[in-house]
Amino acid sequence: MTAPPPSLRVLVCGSADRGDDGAALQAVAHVLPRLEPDVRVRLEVRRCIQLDAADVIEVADGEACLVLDTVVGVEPGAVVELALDDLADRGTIGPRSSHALPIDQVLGIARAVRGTLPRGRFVGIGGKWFGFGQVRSRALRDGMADFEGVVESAIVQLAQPTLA
Amino acid sequence: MHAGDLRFQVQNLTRVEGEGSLHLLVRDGTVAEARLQIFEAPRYFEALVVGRTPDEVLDIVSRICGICPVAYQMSAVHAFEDLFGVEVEPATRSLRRLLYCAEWIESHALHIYLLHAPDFLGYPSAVELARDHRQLVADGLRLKQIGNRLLALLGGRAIHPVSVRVGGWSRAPRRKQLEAMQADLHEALRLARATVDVALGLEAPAFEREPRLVALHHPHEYPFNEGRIVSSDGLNLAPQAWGEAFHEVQVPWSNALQARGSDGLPYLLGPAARLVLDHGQLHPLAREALDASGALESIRRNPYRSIVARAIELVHATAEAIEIVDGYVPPAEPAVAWEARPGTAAWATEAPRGLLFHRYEVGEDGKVAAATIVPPTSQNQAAIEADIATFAPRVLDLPMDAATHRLEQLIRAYDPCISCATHFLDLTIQHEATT
Amino acid sequence: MTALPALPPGGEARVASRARPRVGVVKFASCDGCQLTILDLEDELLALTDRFEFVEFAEATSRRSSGPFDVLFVEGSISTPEQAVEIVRLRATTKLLVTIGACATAGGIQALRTAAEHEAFRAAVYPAPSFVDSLAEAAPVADHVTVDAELRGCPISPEQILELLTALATGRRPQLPDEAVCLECKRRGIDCVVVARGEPCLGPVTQTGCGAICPGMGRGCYGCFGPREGANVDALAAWFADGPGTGGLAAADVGRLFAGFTGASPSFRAITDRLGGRPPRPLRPAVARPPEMAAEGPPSWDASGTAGEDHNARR
Repeated sequence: MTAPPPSLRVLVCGSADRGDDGAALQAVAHVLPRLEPDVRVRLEVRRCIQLDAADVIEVADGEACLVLDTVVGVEPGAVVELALDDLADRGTIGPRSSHALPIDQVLGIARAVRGTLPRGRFVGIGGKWFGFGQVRSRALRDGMADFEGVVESAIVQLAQPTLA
Repeated sequence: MHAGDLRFQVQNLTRVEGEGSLHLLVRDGTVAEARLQIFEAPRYFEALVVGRTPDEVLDIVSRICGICPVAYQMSAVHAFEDLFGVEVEPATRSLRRLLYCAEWIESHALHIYLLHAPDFLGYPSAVELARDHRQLVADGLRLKQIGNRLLALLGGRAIHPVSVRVGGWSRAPRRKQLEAMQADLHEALRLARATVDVALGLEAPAFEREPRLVALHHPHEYPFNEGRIVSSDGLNLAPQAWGEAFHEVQVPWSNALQARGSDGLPYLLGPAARLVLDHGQLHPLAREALDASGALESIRRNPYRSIVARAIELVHATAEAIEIVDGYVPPAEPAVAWEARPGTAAWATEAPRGLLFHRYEVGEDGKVAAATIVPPTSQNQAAIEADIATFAPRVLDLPMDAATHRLEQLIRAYDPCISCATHFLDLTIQHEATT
Repeated sequence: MTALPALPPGGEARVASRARPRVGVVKFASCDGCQLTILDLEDELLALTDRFEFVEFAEATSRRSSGPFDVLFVEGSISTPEQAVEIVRLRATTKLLVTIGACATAGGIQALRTAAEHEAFRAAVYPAPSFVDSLAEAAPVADHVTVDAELRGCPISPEQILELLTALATGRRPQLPDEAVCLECKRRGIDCVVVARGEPCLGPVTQTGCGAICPGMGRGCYGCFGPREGANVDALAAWFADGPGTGGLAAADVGRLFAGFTGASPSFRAITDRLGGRPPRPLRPAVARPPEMAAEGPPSWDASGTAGEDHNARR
């Protein structure tokens, strides 16, 4: 029996050893086992430390895309969710890395090269502590349950096969 | 000329290491001070490695840079192996060169296409460039992706590799795994050669000077991990002996340290320096591209032509990667046994941005007692300031926005290790009247 | 960690209204690590034996299991036809079947898949090396029988066992904490670096999420993600110090392993505090501040002190 082609690519960004930056990785680790097998089988999960335009460009036509990351610019622990296109148009949510293009630019480049962005969403949680070896901040930990809930619904929704 | 400060806030992206700022003091139309703060030397990491074993140091120093972690691991591992008298297998040596090829490919492709090319073509960032030149940006992204894939294959992931160990590798790839990359690498070579043409077609602002260039030199190969430290004015030192010709000085206006030659003068590292000093060791395909371009002299004298230098190094890195994969025979053991010895471990390797020097004092207990890490960007700072001081008078009469942008473009030509945002510079210009 | 209230002193006081639940712990193909963590509970174990009746705590292959059980903990994977028959028989004897540890929940002792390639390892660890071959097809318990609950980890943490038993005793749903990196290794089919190579690895006590990159590249996890809740760091530290496989590490070396990037986390820090080995953190940067100051004025390429010549004209 062969598995169906993936219908949702989950791009999980962040670094495990930088405090709040590992939130998305942790959320996915918690959510994946909770998913129904028929949802899990449609996922392709990629862990990237920083979002790369190539990862988004590669998403096939008809495949959806969910990007997860810790963000700055919102209250630590607050969960943000928006369509990829909206994020590409904005510019207010930034990565906490000195060697990354800002995520809105990454998506902007991907959109320009690919023609359109894949159907999909960005889900982020506000972070506060990003230093090496720092633990996850209290504010972020308090928001993780929410974050995981939103991540889980986004996965279930986006992994639905569409008729389009 | 008006008295008082002309201060201007430019939006900048907050970085973990600090912000980019340039303060110019102008007197009578000349630049009396060019205080550039774009990169903090990794003092935190020099302290963090104290008390650690050599393998632990490798894990730690890869964190210094997200875009060139391999370089930090390579300088460190060679320093330790030199002190401990460790001889790695030839296959290990080749794999390490391959790892560096991958990092150069990824780093140079990112800089050329996403950071630097927009400047030349008049776009505020790669996003706008991608709208009008879709294929161009797609090619750059593809090159970067191939570099990342090779890095992930060898190191476990594209950033902060985990498999580099003293003595070799925690795991060496099987031949089949590397062969699976060959099609991608051939595509990368093709794209690299096209990149040279693109770079040559970009019009560089006219700005020339006579820099002092420094790089590693090896008689038979383009330098990555081995070679003597040479310069355009006759220097020739063992890689452990960086401190005999260079040292760190403190700039009076901050806590930052900069590197200078023993004579107190600046020097320049990076692709331009390597091409000038080592073009005889380029892979034949890269050498051919360089010769056909006729650009060597302008690369030497015009910082904006560094984009051509990087493109030629892309050809070299992709071509060498193909050769290494073709000839790869897995080592008998992924790593050889070793034992720590006390003493001073020091070495230099060529990061994408230039020569990276490490020195570690190893104690009787086999652990690090002190460390010195001198990245290429902090060594280049004096060179960048010297060039800014020369260049800046041209832009002083422009509106602040335009002046800032032109100076950012000049700084970006050095591919410094800073925020990759288009607007990173907090520029202040202070005019002092002397009448 | 939930503490069970002690019964009043006075000897054989029993829980008033009903008999204590009968608990069994049986083992199939595994390393014993999970059972050992139960035994590590010590004080809590005593309180446990007041609340529950441990009627069985032995290897399933010796067929001493008496049953019936209220709760049967099963460690290890099913790797022989005899074991497959036995687990089905056991399933019928217990109300609840709980698998414990990565072998039972995820199946296959992945480390031993390459043991066949390491003759020395086989001979050293297994008196009958042919046993190793039979483990190649080890299956999770859930492939053979219905499983009521899983406690994951490698090894599991005793707090999880406690939590489960407490929940059973009080009739509520157990709260089970994060998974360990070991689970990712098992899912990916990665050899356990501790078992196969003697490499210290913090995977068993580290929260997963990274995809087990480091063991995947043949080296130990160094705990980037920090300790997972309920991790049995003491047992792991003891395991590194005593061997097996790591060959026994000095106390300070074990302490230093836990003093990595996430060494400030309380459970990791407690190990380093106890065993020593924390690297000194100098208050100043390791490099002495050089006495030399840069000259005033912007740097110039030549010693003339002028800001350098613009070679525009010559181009």
